[in-house]
Order: sequence, then structure tokens, then C-alpha cells
Amino acid sequence: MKRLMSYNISRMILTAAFLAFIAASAVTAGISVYIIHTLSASFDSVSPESFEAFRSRDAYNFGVVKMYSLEELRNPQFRLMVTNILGSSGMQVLLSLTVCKLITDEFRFGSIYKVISKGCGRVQVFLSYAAVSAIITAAVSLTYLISFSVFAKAGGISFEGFSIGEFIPVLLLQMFMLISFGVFAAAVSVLMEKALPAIMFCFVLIFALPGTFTILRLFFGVDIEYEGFFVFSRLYSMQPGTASAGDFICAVIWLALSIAGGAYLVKVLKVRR
Amino acid sequence: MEKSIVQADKVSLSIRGKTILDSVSFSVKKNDIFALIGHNGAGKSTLIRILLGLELDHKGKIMLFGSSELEKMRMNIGSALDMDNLVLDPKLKGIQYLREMCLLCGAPKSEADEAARLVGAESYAGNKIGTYSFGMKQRIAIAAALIGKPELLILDEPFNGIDPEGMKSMRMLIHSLNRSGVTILLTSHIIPELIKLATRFGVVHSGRYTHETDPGELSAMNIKKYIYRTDDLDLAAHRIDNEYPTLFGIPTGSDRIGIIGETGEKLDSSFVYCGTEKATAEDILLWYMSGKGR
Repeated sequence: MKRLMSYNISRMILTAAFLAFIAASAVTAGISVYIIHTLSASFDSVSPESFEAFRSRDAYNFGVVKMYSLEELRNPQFRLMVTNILGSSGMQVLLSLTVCKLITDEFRFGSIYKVISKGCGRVQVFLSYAAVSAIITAAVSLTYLISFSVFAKAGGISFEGFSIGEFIPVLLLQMFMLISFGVFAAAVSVLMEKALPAIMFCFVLIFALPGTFTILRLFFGVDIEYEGFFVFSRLYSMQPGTASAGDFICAVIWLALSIAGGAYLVKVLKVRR
Repeated sequence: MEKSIVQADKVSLSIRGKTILDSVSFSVKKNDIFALIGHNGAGKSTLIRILLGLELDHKGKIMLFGSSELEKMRMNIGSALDMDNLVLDPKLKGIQYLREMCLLCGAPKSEADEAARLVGAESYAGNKIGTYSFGMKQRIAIAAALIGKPELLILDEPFNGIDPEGMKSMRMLIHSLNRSGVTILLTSHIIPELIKLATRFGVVHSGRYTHETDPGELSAMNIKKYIYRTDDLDLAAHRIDNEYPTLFGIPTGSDRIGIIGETGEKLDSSFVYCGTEKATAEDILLWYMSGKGR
């Protein structure tokens, strides 16, 4: 495992383009915060009639945008929520692409086959990628935090009650969830022996699942009490002030389950190319 | 008794109901240059992938270096797969790639330079892989496989896609590695090169391991090749394949075809009999590869 980790970290560092990608992700994340902030401000100019069109239901969940009530659209605090949710989701996408880039390269250049043919078990390979994805997450999150802080300090974010102090625990929470996602992506990649379809699968899963409840409600009239799922929704979205100890416990359990589940799947399921 | 480096016993693999390998048994002895030969799609690369742990669902027993602890034993194997379609990270320098392999094998980084020297790649190992020719990449791939000083080197299609000069150079490299004590297991369907190189041949046809032989046995075989003149060589070869299921045709000149098989002399009148020759080792191996060889 030690030599496998050294090898993977070396791969990560040696691929200069990959490091550039991380930097670009961070910058883009920072920029996206600004863009989304500007967009969310335009909600004020949307007519109340437009909101009424959505009013027939009291909870909506369109993938990354989650609303308990459309009343929230009128609340200035909602802009902060949208900014944060979409900003973090943008980061999630960029981060996933970063992990995808690494794993894709591993498959494309045959390194993963080298690793397995040198006697490393698939579970070991999975765990090493999971660890690498955690390192990437930490690196991107840190740069994201810096760009966000700089932006906030420069007055780009002027919402009431916003403070970096509140933002940091939420970011840490977000990191846990992103690591879980990276772990999951690593498991599916090693299982499928192809990175891109695996990542696509993860994306579909991560974005389709939350939206499924809304789609079921809107189009099929199936009403599911899905508030219970909001614990996960909340963990995936950054809402200042919501990072409670319970959330952290949930995040840790979620991560542990991802690792254990991923390792088990890689070991027992025989998915073939 | 010679030590078996690889021992495969009744190895089978089916994917979605399709049989890829059917009860394949063979062994590779120490210091062999063992050539697994067969047409494209015969199953030889799949067999290699099974040995390396890249295919999961196979049946049968495999032993490496006399042990069934395969994951542990695989550390003693160096491999270069898909050598006819090598894709290495173009952004890396050759030497960086080799040093990565040192990390993976737990070998000292100095082995990277040593491996580059061994395959004759030291002059360009400091350049980026993106600037390499195909032959240069192949050498770097072999150098990577040599990191960790493996006892067994597995090369998948090392002769595909290279020019005659490159083939000669590859052959010399494999010979020299074998002389230094490395057992070689390679796959190919380029028989003329293998004849000059291999100490044993295993033939795979449609997933079955049909023949095993060696150069001495091949040269001692007295198999007849009936030579016929024909106006259209391509058509003749096609007709032999389709109309005479027990015969095997080998073009032996611009208007002649050699036929191996029990009823070789009883072709229709469009084939004009010219005489009989002794089949060469290459003819016999091609005959085996066709699935018609006895």
C-alpha cells in the first residue's frame, strides 16, 4: 500500500497539467461564485407571477438547487443560499473532473494495469485512489476557500450575517462529502476498469437522485416524504450556520460507509469491460 | 526437473456466454523464450491478462514460480502489454516514467537508469515521451517492465507495427535479456521473427491451446507441402479455405500456392500440380495457427 501511494502521489505531482487543472478549478470556482452572485441578485427582478407558477408545491429539489419553499426566493438570504449551493456544486463538478482526469490518465496510459499486474489487489488500488482523491479534494478546497475569502474581503459578498468563520466548518463538511464522492467515483472506476463511464455514472447518480423526488411529484403525482433525505442534501450544500456536530457525525459515517462499501464492491463484484 | 515459471492448468474464460479460452493448459520453463502464437482474437492476449491478474472470471488453476500465491508472485513479473498500440503519458520524460515504475516496484531509483541503459534508451530517456518514435516507446515500455529485476518478462505483440530494422533490434534485445537470465513469454502472430527467437511455441486457436512444439521438433517433422500453380493466388487461397476444409494453403510466390493436408494432391483442375517440398517450420506453425493442423 505504501509503494502504491508513493506511486500515485508521484503520478499526481509529475503531471504538471494536472496541477494546473487544480489551480484552474480553484480560480474557476472563485469566478463562479461571482457569476452566481450576480445571477442570484437578478432574482429581485423576477415577477411574483413567475414564482406563483411554482407555488403549487411546497418543496422543490432540482438537483443542486434545493428549496424548502418558494417563499425563500423572496428572501435575500436565499441569494446567499443559491450562491453557496451553486458555488459549491460548481466546485463539486470541477473537483469531479479533476479526479476524473487523474483516473482517466491512469487507465489511458495503462498505469492501472501495471499496478494490478505487479500484484496489487483491486481493493488496494481502490483505497489508494480514494486517498488520492481525498488529497485532491483538500487541495482544491483550500484554494477555493482562499479565492472565496479574497472575494468576500474585497466586498464581492455583502450578505448580512456572512462570515468566513461560519463558512469554514461548512467547507470542512463539504470536503467530507466530496471525499465520499471521490471514494465512490474511485470504486466505480476500478470496478468498471474505465474512468469516464464511471464518472458519468457517478454524475448521473449524484445529480439525478435529488431531482428524482421532484420529478416524481411534478410529473407522476407521486408524493414522497423525502425530508429525511435532506440530511444528505444539507451535507452536500453549503449553508452557513448549518454545519452542526450532528452533520459532521453524519458526514463521517457517510464517508466510512463509502470506503467500506467501495472496498467491498471492488472485491466481490466482477464488472467486466 | 526444470522449474516451471508459469503453470496454467485447464484455464477457461467465458464472457457473456461466449467462450474466450477453453481449458488451456501449458507451462513455461525457466530460461525459455516461450512464444504464444495465434491469429488476432485467438485468445493469447487474454491468457496473458489472466496471468497478470487483469481478468477476474477465469476458471482453472494458475501457478507462478511454483506458487499459487499469485499476487505475491506477480512482483517477479515484468510486463509490457498492447505493445502494438502503446499509449504512454506524452508529458513525462522517459526517465520519469521509469522512476515511477521504481516507486511502484519498491526498487531504488537508480534502476531506472540501469533499465534505460539495458534496452539502449539511455540517449533519449531524458526527453519527453511525446517526442519518441514507436520503436523508442517500445524500448521504454520494455525498460519499465524490467524495473524490479523480474524473473519473467511478458511481452504482448512486441513485433507489431515496427519496421524490419526495428524487428531485428527488438529480437536482439529479447535475446540479450534472455541470456542475462530472464525468462520470456511473448505473444505474436509474426511467425518469421518468432522462428529466429523462440525456444518453445504454444499455439492458441479460437480459445483452445492446440499445439506445443519447439524448433528442434519442427525441423525434424517431415510434413509435405504440395506446390500448385494458379492464375489467381488470392482466389486460390480463398477457395482452399472455403472448399477444402482439411487443407491449408500458403502462398509461395507470385503464382504458386503450397498446400498442406492429407489430400493435398487431389485438387480440381484449376490448380496445376508442380511438385512437393518439405514444409518449413514457418509453414507448420501457420498450419497449426489456422486450426487445421493435426
